[in-house]
Amino acid sequence: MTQVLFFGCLFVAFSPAIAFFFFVIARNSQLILLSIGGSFFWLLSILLASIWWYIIPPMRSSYWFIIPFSIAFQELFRYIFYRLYSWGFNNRPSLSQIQQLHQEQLRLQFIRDQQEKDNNQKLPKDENKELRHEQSLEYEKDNSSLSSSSISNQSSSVNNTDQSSSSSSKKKPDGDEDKDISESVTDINARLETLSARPNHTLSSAAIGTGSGLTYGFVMFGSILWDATGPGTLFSPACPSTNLFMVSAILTMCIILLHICNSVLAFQGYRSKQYHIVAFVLLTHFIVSYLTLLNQPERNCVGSLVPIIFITIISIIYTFYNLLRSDSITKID
Amino acid sequence: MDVLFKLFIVLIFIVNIIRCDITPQVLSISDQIYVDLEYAFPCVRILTENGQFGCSSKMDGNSGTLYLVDSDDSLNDLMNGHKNNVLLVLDANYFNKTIVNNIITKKIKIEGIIVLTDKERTYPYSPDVTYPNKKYGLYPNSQIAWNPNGDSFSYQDFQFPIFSTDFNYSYAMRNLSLSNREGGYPAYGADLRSFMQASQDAETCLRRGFCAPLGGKSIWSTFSKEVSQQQDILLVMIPMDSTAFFHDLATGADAVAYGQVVLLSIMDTLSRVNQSQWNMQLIFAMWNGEKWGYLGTSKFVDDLLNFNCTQVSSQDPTVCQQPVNYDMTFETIDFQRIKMIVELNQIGLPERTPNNQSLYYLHSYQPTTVSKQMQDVFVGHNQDNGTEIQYLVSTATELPPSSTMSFLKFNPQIQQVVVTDHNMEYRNPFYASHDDDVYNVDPDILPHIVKSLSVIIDQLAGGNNSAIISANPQFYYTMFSCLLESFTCTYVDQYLNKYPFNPIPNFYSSIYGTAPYNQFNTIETQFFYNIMWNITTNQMNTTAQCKKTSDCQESLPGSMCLNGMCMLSNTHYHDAISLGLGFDDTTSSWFIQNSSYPIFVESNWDYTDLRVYLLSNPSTEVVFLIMGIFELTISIVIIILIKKHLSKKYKLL
Repeated sequence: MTQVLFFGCLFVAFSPAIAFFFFVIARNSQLILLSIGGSFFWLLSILLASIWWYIIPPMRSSYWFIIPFSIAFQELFRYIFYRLYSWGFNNRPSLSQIQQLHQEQLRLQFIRDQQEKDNNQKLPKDENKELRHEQSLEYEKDNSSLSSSSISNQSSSVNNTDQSSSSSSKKKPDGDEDKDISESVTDINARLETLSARPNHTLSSAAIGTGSGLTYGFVMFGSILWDATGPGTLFSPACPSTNLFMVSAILTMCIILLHICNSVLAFQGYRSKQYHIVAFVLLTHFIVSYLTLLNQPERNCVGSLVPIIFITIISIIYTFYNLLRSDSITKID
Repeated sequence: MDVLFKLFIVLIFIVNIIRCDITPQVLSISDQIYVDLEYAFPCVRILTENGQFGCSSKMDGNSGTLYLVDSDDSLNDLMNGHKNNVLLVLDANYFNKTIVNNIITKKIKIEGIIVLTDKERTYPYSPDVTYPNKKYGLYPNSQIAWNPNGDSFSYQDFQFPIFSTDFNYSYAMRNLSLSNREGGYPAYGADLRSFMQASQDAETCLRRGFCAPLGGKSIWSTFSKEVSQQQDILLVMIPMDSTAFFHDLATGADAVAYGQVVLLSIMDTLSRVNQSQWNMQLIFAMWNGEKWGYLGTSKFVDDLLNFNCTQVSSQDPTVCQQPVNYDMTFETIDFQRIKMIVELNQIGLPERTPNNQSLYYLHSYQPTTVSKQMQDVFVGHNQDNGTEIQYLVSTATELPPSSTMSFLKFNPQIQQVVVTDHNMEYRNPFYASHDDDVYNVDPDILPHIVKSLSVIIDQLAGGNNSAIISANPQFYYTMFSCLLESFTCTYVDQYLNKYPFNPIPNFYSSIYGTAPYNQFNTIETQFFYNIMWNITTNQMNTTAQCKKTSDCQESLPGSMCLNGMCMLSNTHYHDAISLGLGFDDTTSSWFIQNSSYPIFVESNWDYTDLRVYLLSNPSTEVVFLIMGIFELTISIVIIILIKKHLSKKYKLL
């Protein structure tokens, strides 16, 4: 019967995060990379936290002392990762911007074609024929060179867009450089740009949060979950009639979701310099971490479970609220 | 200089960190779930040439919910109920062949049995056969039932594990299973792991190398420096090993341990008398493996008659390389010179007469005319002043199962007396059971029997020290507590530089070894060897102190370091292994060369343990799993819906 417990806990703890991962993040290669990066940075932070725990032996069992440092390390690494991310990604056009550029390009092409058409009608018939033939040859050449030497082309085009957008993005580091970019559009390869485009900032930070959250789940809960496969069960020291694995599974689910929300919120806060959002993240992180201490003997696990679930729901709502009001998401007119 | 000082400070800091590193160990999750019982004694599998008996768990153990059977009501509930995965916790009274086989045949799926030892069994019971070692003795067709309480439960093959545990853990297990019965939540379960590698029969498992032959080491010892070929020999001996359903609990208080105490006390007493008057040589012997078809004595007698060393070791003339034998001193004993045997066999529980005399019985091989003279010596002491011991000639027509039989097979003219506490049937109610413990013997008779037998043996040897013989009460009482109560006494500390894991004295012979050159020696045997060495020491270096035996090789070659002194003694081990087994050097495995001899081999195992844990409610787990699957589908649906909704209003990538 204990395999039942194992899979029950596995589903309860990980299903929202796994579903989010497969239905949203796995659809974009860059999001996957970002989530792996997120998990790596979270591991680094927890490595530092565990070193800190190790070098101060008298405080090893005093969790109230360890928790603030662990949170500090995690939030520090979240900020470092934000800096790294904004250094590499903020100046890249997003996919929607690329699409916009592409449409702009097509529109210009159309206008040029129209003008040519008007000119050609004025020219004599034979010349017109020859000229058109030459033009088509040139066009084919152009196309083949573009697709074969893609790397150089790509880099040059990236540089182009970077340079073009840098002037505007320096003023506004956010994603709303759409209007300015269209002015400097000259010639871009739409397919390659689509591949190298960054996802929007919200999804990126959600991917980072999913990466760190899932890593948290596997490191903190996966290691103890394996013991649930044996014939015996551990009961919560706080609620002696409640299965500890079940309590832990629910807590893990909440904390993974909180990781995603916190990541989205914190990145948005840093990006738009709205530091009250960052403060909210820190606060929920502290409160949730200290609430888990209620699972110790002679406390009450209900006192930890209910508020944590409540905080998770609040966080999710607050994230959506912020997200829809934010500038990183583009509204369809 | 400043740099050095800073380095020093840093070093001190680091050292402090390392020194402070003595924090309470954080238990792993599995350590928190499972509590290993420190003293869990498994029933193990033994194989013969025809099959197997004993117990084995499944490879990854058997687990179940504890169910206590301590009354007829609880037994009936079990029989009539429909319970699955039951781990029976049997009160001592409910552990016998009838009840267990009744449960098995009822097709109740039991995962295993835990036998409690916190309460004594209230009725006589022996799991051994009614005539132990019948096939290998002098009377293979005998009709006598020496052990009428025996139901041969030990020789049954079980497909599930059976464990026992010590007093304290038994008490705890009883309470846990009582809580289960009263519907306590969470319920308690246990996990028994004693997977036996060997199966089928001895021949198969020896070939596969999954088992090792039963046996051990016998010990013989004498006061003189050398055994003379010219003098007759009086052999005073006991069987050393006992057995039980759970081998780790084979104290065999009446069966062997009491005899061990008396034999060692006799040796101790006689070591202080004038031995110059003796016209016979006294050899004291403890035979090992006797419960498994007289392995010790038959091997000894066979070696005395037939041993022929073809290749003596170049370094040590007492070591033979082919066939392997580490001590050839036994060759100084001439089998034909063994004229008398006194065997002490089950002497702990004599019958008391109304005037407080204890009755001992003298058994001899028919016709008794051979041993009449010896019996008369024993009986002659019945009239001594103030004696509490009465020797009576047994009315039994046959010799009870005894080690003497191996000698009589080759020389029926040896005078022999087997001293026992029973006339016909065993008086021992718990023969070869773990219930044969210290409460099963009579400690009050110990001073009298030691003194009486010492006097008689001195007289048989030709001495006349009866007036001055006095036993040392400190010696025999300490020895009694060592060998019957707890094997953690002062003598064990003194004579054995190892500490026993299991404080319950057990004299199960265990295995002989994986090869003749890789022998196994139980610490109980080592203890006997060292203490006999100490008693019969004939030369010692009192001036030089020693710490280990290697310190003695210069001052007194061949001596052993005991109590900080180098001592020389004529005490020897002798192999106790079945004559039917041979060792094949090319394949490094034992093989059966003659199946008319006893063949008993013990299976190998990796580990055995008994873990107790809490069980959760299976229905809660199923509900939780359904919740999890529901949660997965809900989250997929929500994500798809949100994606759909948002992608209408926003550009998502």
